[in-house]
Parts: sequence; C-alpha cells; structure tokens
Amino acid sequence: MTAERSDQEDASQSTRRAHSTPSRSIFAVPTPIKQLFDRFPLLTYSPNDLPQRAPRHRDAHTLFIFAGEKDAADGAPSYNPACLKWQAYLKFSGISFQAVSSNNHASPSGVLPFLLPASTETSKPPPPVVSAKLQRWAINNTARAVEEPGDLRYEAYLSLLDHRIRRAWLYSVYLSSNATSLSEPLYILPTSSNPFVRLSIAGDLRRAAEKELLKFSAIIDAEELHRHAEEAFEALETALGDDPWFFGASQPGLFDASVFSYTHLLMDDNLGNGWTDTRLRDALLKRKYLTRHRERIVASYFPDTGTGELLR
Amino acid sequence: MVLELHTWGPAFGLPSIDPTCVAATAYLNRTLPRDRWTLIADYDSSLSPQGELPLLVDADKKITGFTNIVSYLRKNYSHNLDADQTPQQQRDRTAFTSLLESTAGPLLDLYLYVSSENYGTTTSAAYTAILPWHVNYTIPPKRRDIARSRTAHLGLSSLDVAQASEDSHGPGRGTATSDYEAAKRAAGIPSEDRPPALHMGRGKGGLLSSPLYAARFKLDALSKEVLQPLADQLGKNKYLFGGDAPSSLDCLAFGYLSLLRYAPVPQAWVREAIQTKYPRLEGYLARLREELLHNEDIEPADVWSVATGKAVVGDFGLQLPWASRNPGAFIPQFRAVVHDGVLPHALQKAPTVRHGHNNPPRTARSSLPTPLAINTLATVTTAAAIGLAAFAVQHRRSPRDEPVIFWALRPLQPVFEGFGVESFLSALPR
Repeated sequence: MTAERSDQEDASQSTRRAHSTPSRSIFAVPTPIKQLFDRFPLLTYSPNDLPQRAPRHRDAHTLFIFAGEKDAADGAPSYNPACLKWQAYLKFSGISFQAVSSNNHASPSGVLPFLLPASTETSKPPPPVVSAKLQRWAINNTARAVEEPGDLRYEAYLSLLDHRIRRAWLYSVYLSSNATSLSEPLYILPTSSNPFVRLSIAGDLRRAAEKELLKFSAIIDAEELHRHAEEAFEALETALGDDPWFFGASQPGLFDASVFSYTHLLMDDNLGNGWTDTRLRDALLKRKYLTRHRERIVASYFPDTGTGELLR
Repeated sequence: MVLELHTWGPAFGLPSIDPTCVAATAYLNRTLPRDRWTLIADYDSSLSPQGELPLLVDADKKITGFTNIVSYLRKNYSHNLDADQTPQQQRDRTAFTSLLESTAGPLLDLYLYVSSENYGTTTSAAYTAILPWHVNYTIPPKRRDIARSRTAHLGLSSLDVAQASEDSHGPGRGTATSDYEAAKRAAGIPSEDRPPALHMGRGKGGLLSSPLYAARFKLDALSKEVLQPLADQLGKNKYLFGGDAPSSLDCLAFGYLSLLRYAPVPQAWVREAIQTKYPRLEGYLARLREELLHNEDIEPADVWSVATGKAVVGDFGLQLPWASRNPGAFIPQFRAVVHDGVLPHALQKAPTVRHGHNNPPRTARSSLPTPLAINTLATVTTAAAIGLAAFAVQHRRSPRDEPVIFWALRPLQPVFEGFGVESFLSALPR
C-alpha cells in the first residue's frame, strides 16, 4: 500500500515535471510574444518582378558580351576583341543567339564572353559555357560545323594575333591618348556615375594593362610594340593574300574571327569617341587584303552595322 | 669598330642562361669573324635603353633584343643569315618567332623558375656562378617573380612549393611532416607513406585527381604545344627552312630549346619529351650546337675570371670572344638593390612607359575628375581638417568659460539703421 502510493506520487510528479519543463526552457517562446507573432504576417506582398536585366528569353542561347545595352539587342558587334571574336564565330557557325550587355563580374570565369545555352526547363538550367569551351560547344551544337584548317603554321600565325597585336592593342586602347577617347566612354563611364569610383576604375584598368605589358618587357616602349604589330599585320596580309578566307578555307573559321575582332574595331570610326592615337589603325589601313577581309565579314554577317567604308 | 654583345652569363655549358642571349650569341658567332666582336657576361640591365639583355653596343648605338639585333646587323653590316629566303619564308619567320616567344618562353619559365625543385637545385646555383654576391639577392628572385606572373594563367602553381603549401587546407597542415610531404608531392616525388590509389579517374581519390599527375598531364601538353609545330616545320630537313645553312629562326629556336634540353634539372619533363618523342629535334639541337657554338662546354668560372679582368680568353682556350666588363659603379647598383629589395611596393617608382613620337590631331576631353580637381579637393579637405584640429588644440589649452559661438543671428546694429529700407523710402521725394 505504501509502496503503491509512493509509486503513484512519483508518477504524478514526473508528469507534472514533464508539463512544466517546456515553459522553463530558455528556447521556448514566451506566451505574449508568441501571441503577438501569431498575428503575422499581417499582409503578404506578391513576389517582386525580376530585374530588368534578368534573363527572360531562356529558349534562346544567350551570349554575354561587352556592348551597349541597345547595341547588344540589335546584334551590333561588341567593342571588346575577345567578345567580338566569339560573337563572329557563332555567326559563322550558323548558331542563332541573342547578345546581352554584361560585365566581367557576371561571368563564372571572371572574363567575358560566356554563353548560357537555351533551356526549356527552368528548374535545372544548363551550366554556362565559358569562352575557353565555346568552340567545342559550337561544334557540338550546329549542323554545319566550321572546320579548322589543319595547316602547319596555324598555331604560329595565331600567336601573332594573340601576342603581338594584342599587346599593341592593349597599349593603344588603355595607355595611349586613346584611353580618354576609347576606354573611358566604353569601359569606365557605364560602370558608375560617381566620379571617384570612375577615377579608381580608370586607374585599375590602366595598371592592369601596364602589368600585362610589363610581363614581356622591362619597359613599355610604344614604338617597339607598334613595330611588332606592323610586322604581324604584314605577315597576316601575305598569309591571306587574294583568298577570301585564311588558309584557303571555303568558309570563315575561328582564325578569321580572331583577325576580324581586331581589324573591325581598328577600322571602326564610330568606336567610342573615335581614335586619337591612330598609329595602330594606320598600320592596318595600309593592308588592303585585311581591310577587304573585314568588309567581307561585315557585309555578310553584320549587315546592320552600316559603316562609311561599305557605302563607298 | 668592334661590336660588343652584353648578355647574361653562361650556364649549363651554354653561353648564357637567357634564351634570347644564347640566340644572339649564336647568331653573332655564325655571322661575324671572331676579331670583329666581343662577348661580355653582364648582369647590369640598366645599361640597355630597354632595360633588357642581350644588348649590342656599336660605338654610340645600343640595340636591345634578338630580333632588333638581327635586323640591325642586316641593315648596317649586311651580315645576314636570312638572305636567300622567299617572302613566304620571311613571314613564316615572323610567325614562328612570335610562336617561340609566346609558347617556349612560358615553358622555360615553368621549367627553370616556377618549379621550385628545379629552381632550388639548378637555376639559383647557376645564377650564383655568374652574378656578384650582392645582386644574388635581387636579380634571381625578381626574374622568378616575372616568370610566375607570366605563367599564372596556366594554373600550374602547384609546381611552386611555397605557394602550393599556402593553398593546401586541411588537418595537420603546418606541421613539419606535412610541409615536407607537401613539398615532396609538389616537387613530383611520390610520398612513401600513402601510396596513390590505383584506380584511374578524375573523381575523389582517383589517380588523375592528384595534383602531381594533373600537373604532369598539363606540362606534357604544354611541351607538345612548343615541340610539335617545330618538329612539323623541321620535317626531315636539316634546318627549319630547309637549305644548307641555319637562319636567324634556327638561332632563336636553338636559344630556347637548348636551355630546355641541356639544363641539368631534377624534374626534366621537357628533356625527356625531346629525347623520347622528338628524336629529330634532338639531332637538330646537337647539329646546331656544333655549327653555331663549336660544341663548346662553357665553364662559368672561366668566363667569370675573364669578365672580372683576372684572366684573358687565351688562358682557358675559350672559343667565344669573351671580354671583361666595366667594373660598374657600386652606388647605383646598391641603390637598385635597396629599391628592389627593401622599399615597399608602394614606394617603388612607376614603370616606364615610352609613348614615342605621336602628335594626335585632336585630344579627347576626359569626363573624369582631373588631377587638378582631385588635388584641390584634397588640399581643401586637409586644410579644413588641420584648421579644425588647431582650433581644438587651442581651445584645449586656453578654454573659455562661455560657449564657443560659430554662428548666430545678431541684432541689427544701430549704425546700419540709416541705410534701412524705410529710411531710404522716406527720404524719397514725393
């Protein structure tokens, strides 16, 4: 009997303890506050619209490039050689895509251009294609793949573009007097409206170009750079000769796109606020096969970009 | 006039440790008789207007760089190895020169400078033999830094032990054993205690996922990028452009390939590639070494004694016309050491940019703040801050009892009452 009662008491005590434990825990919500928060949300807003720049037409391939907002929508050529090269190459491959104005911060690899392939399902979008893998992607995604000529000297001539002409381009656009007339309106002014931020970006851009050039010489000598670029143009000119496309190909390929990316921008009178230091441009304008090569591509693949040379 | 060629000193039995210097030496040795030029093992690149070696000094003219030296000799002395080339070959020469600079250059950077085992055992020792003691603290590390920056985009920093161990995260990091193991892994030695798993694949733990093998694949691909086009161009010919005599391009190719082939480095992936996969290039290099440099195995110590004026060429029977260098002022060198080694980066002088002759027909107006505006703003801000601080100090030293009043509306002084509007109006004649 005594034992039974003590058992019952134990049981009732334990149940009481079980009831009172939650209220004593520091993680429990006090009743008045819980009542207050039970009234929320008072009002649920409808979800915001996507930002203006968010991708909408996901059923088309989207190439993110340096370009003005309006120019990109019109399919005008980009003002950055690396972007223009791939823009032209995709056109050569017969892939339809929409170009979107963007900047380096948007890219997964930190460099433009990159491409978002079209997707129908929104839940699992395909991964973006960075510029290093664009050629393979283009070959896999087109009916008429552009064949690259298996010429022995292909690599050697490509290095002329990727090094000599690129270095002269870096100097010409970012360090010479063109910095105020080209790189400023194209790369700096659109990024910010604050003069101090702009100044700091301009300094960064300039230092980056200097650093890149100093990797290959202790002193940045403009005449040396231009002389090398001139030799390169001369070699490319004779390599092209009277043929329509490089290395005797029947249709333009990646090499033509690479050449075009520099020749088009150098010959474009309306680039930025126009060229002020024209040394590199003049070196190109002397080469009649290269200038014709550029006009051929503009006429066939960028027909909307009506420039003075074409009308003449 | 005797031409003077200043180059970096000899290494690995070759006349220089720098590829373009080897090429320039080979070119001059091939074109000029021995009494027409001298070769000076130098290290003071400030002699040169471009800040680089090789430097050709002809009386008061200074020409820097291999291609410039070649074209200078062609124009002024009609010494030319490229005389009987077709226009097609001439433009191929431009393209292949650019290819060598852009692919063989980074490969050599990786091979001799970035790979820490190769740098530690071979390259830095080679520099010690050709440099005075004090510049050993500045020049080799500086050249290594440039090599690192040139190859940064290749993503092969795992060859660099110092950086690789910084990159690694995980338990047991920072202990002596783990550092040692990391160093061994990065240098390409398999570690004993944990044999690599033998299943292939790039996944976690797979053979291809380990940085050692991944780097090796990349390195082999890079070597192939350099060697394959050259091997294709060479074909079965004796020289890159056929014919019976070497051209300037052969000299340049020899400059790069000889350093890759003959440097006695412990991690010899390029040497192995040349020996096993490109036997024709191996034969080509041996042939060029014979023809351009008489197959001489140059001893850096001999050249050092000649360069410092302690001996003459005849003492050692050297084939190349080595000569002594100017002792050079110690103060500028010392200043350079201080500038490069001691000063923080922010205080070092900005890189030189030579814009050359260019008169732009029009100058564009910049919409960025001008330096004048920035300086004015900075000056005004500083002046205001100093004024405020001075006022605060003054107030602290001689405090006043009453509050300091900067601005308050004052009652109009009676002096001005005469000029008030009412009085003016009342004074008007009616």
